Amino acid sequence: MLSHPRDPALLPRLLWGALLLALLVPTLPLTGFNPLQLFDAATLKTLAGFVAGFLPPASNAVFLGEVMRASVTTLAAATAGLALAMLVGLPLAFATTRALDRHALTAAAPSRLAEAGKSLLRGVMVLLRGAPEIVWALLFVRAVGLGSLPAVLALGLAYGGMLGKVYAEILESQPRALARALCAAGAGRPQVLGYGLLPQALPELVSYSVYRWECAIRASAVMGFVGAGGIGQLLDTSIKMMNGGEVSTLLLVFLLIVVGTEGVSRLSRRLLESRQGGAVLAGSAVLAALASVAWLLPAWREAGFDGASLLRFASEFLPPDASPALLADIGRGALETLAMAFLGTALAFAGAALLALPASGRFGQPAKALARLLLNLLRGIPDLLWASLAVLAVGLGPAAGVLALALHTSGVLGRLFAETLENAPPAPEQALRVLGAGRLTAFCYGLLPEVWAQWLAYALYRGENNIRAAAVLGIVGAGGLGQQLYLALSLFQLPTAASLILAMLLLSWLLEQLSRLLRQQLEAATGHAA
Amino acid sequence: MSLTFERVGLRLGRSTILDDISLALGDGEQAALIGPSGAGKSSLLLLANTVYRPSQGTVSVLGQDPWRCAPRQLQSLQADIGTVYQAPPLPARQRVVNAVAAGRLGRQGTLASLLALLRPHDAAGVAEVLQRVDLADKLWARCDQLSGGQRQRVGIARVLYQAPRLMLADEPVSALDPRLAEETVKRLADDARARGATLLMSLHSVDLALAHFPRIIGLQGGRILFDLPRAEVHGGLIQALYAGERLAEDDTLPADAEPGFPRGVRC
Repeated sequence: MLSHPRDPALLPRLLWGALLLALLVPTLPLTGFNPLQLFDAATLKTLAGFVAGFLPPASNAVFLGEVMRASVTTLAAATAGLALAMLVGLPLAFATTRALDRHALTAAAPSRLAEAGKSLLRGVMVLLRGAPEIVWALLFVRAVGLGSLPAVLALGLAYGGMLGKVYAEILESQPRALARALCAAGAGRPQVLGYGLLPQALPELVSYSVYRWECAIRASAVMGFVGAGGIGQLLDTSIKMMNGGEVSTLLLVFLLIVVGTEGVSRLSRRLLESRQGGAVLAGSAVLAALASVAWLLPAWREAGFDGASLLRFASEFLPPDASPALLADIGRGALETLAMAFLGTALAFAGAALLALPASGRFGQPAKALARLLLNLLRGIPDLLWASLAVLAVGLGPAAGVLALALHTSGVLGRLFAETLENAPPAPEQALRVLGAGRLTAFCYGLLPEVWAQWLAYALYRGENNIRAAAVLGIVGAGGLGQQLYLALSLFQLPTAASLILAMLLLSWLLEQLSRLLRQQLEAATGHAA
Repeated sequence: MSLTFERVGLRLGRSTILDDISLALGDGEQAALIGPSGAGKSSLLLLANTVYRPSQGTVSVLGQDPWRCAPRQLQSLQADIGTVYQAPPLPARQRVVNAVAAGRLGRQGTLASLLALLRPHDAAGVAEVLQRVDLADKLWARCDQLSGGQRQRVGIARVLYQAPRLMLADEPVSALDPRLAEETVKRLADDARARGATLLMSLHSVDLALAHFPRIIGLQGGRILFDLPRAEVHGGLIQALYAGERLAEDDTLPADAEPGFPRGVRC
């Protein structure tokens, strides 16, 4: 046995490798993505012209004034949208969280009616957050017209479902002792929440809400692409008119807004830790929400909002179209979506690994600063925005989606990869260097084994995200289910649109189940190994 | 000469770690390095294996000054220096077979080394070395599945597999029980003797040093207090060496926190 040791990991490795290849190869014809085409002389020339057109950024006063107003609208829509989402999410969380259940806290038997009600509400939340906010925005633009109102409504519903779920989970993750004691003393649901759970859970609830506000601002900017006002709508116009100078000004402003929001959210987190910070934070949040509504209200009044027409619009979606031809189309769209996400993530993995090496400071300070800047740029621009730029570069269709996902995800993963490289212990690699190993070999033997599992976990998590993203990139013309949905809505084929939205919901739900299963397996496997 | 220090000093930041160290080890010689913690034993070994560059004086290894070598030359020189570390520098998730095979990376081409990560090409050779440290059954195990003592023996197996001409060992048996420690020191010494390699080992245990090494070097406060044949090292010297030793400071590395998983489903 000693003379012929057989590697027990060889067969699994071969199988995994073959599986990966078998999944990856078909994505090329499915998405029409041709990596060679990117380096083709003609494409390079078009791209160079396109990029050169970005300079100098547009800076005339009229345009800048317009950008300013649009930026405020974007911020206001995000803030008002999040406020609405909290109004939706808080009651849902209060009603559905298991942390307040009498039967979970004491030995009482659960009431069947109440449980059925909670399941119903949980189902509503799944529906609300299952459709991406950009799809909600698209629907509301069709229902109530162009402007910022659809953005606010879309954020309110999609984020409302999300906040409801996460708030409930945060409450469930708190220690139960106090709540149990209160419950035993006869306190009702509101009292247990107010005295037993809220004081401990508040910091986490607030910090999650602030994080969501950051997300809402990005989302609100992007919603302009479907006509929901703000900076995104200006960007959409400028891109369609191929005005590079305006595009670069808008991108810069967008990045500034993102950086600014990150600063505000850091500040608010610090406020939360100080004594009176909580009150200051709550006060300024309410003020911000009111100011946002005040800024947006005149435009809403002008547009007019009609509840009856909204209902009529909603009823036209029913019944969803279930013809075999459409189902086949949806199947194709779903496959295209999956292929886009898979190929985009795989490319991003390679790109992120290449960028993470300089970004972790392995090739000196200047390279590190440059790589970080590039990563921040890639990450700072949302995938939908990348997609609308990629459509210009490589044309309509899923190839643009692949490119967009690859670019944005390279930035996200690259930063995470660089962090793992910086956190990994340096001793193993150094020990190999001084026994004469080259740079690359020492890295692969000394550091890579340490970070590899983490990299895969991040890529898996991001890949899941990318499937959701790929489903909507088509809204700006980058293929997949989103493109079909956009087309159906443009042609007022509302039953078809309904089927497509259902398909998206189904895909998202399947994905959630699959990733939960995978994660459990992974945890069981690693728990076993340790 | 396998290893020569000529009036070597080492400063790290503002503190002087080693001062005026001169010593010479002939080919095939074996010597033990003893002294209180903080005396500079580890630093001396790290100077010898080219991790540290001397602030003063010259270190020459196997007849060459590593700091005046061309990169290629340095690499082949380094391939002949093997180090056993006190805390074995093994990636937690690496498999034992690769951790040991890494000992020969200095003598292999890049491509061959990288391919070996996918499919170990000398599993039999690694298994043979592991057998010598009683870990034959751990060939395919992952390093984080091993106990501290087993990991230390994997580190030793790597050096045995490397088969360098100069073997340096920094308290290689601190995580082993006394019987295993004794056996391991003997095994390293036997291996060096059999191959005619030079061995310099720092040890916490004076008894182990006296039992297995013909030459003892006592280090105190960054200077050599004595450098004598075993027969001339008497109790008084040992007492003087460890006089005034403070309680050993806790020099374990802080545990690395795994970066948390980001929250939020999509954004």
